[in-house]
Amino acid sequence: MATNERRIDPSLAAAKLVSARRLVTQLEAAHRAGTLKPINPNAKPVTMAIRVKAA
Amino acid sequence: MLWYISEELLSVLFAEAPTEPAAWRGIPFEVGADVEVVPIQFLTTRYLVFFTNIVREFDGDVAFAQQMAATWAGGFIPAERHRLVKFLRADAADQNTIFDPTAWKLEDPRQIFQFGRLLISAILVHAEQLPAIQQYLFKPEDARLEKFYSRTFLRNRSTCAEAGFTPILEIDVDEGGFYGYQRTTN
Repeated sequence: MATNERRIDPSLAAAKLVSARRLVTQLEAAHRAGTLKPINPNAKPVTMAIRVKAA
Repeated sequence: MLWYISEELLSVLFAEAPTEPAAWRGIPFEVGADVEVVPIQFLTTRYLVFFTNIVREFDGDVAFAQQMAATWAGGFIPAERHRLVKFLRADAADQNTIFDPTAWKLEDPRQIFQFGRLLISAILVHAEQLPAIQQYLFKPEDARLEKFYSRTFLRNRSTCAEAGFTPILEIDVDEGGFYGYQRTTN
């Protein structure tokens, strides 16, 4: 069982941002290049109702 | 302007997402070699769930990636065909709020369980469409994410087992490593 004592490591937080920026940049580039494709074009999205409503 | 993401792109990924509050899981898209994305929406907040190989995080340097992964997780080296799962808020306008849960608070704290299940759903549809992937890894970088992954990990074990996955027990999460699932089939 994990503890909840892990603190934010500044170097990890910075690396996380760099990684995220790289991924979204790659995603945007694929979109602009027309190479962003569904893995399975026949796949269907799924919608579910929110089970816990706002109080 | 969103953070490096255009509205046009999001309109493609979320083309079928409902406009009213809902838990919605889109379909997996191939972004590039060893990188995929699944769009999800919870309430009306949109997220991108990315799947990538750790080696991609280190510009293709396999030895260095394995060394870093082992450092993170007490010597554990991911399978060659694995995916590191990362999610971020798609509508973030700047880097300060992209990972900040206070910027996309849930209406009720108990909704976190359904959000976790939605995240698992994104992983399971990815696993269904890419059966060669053997392991899925989550690396929490802070206490809040740690707590979320821990809850999600524990509450969805049976769902993952039914889908042919088992927790990777040899990873010592307390030592700063990963949460992970691996296939028990094929």
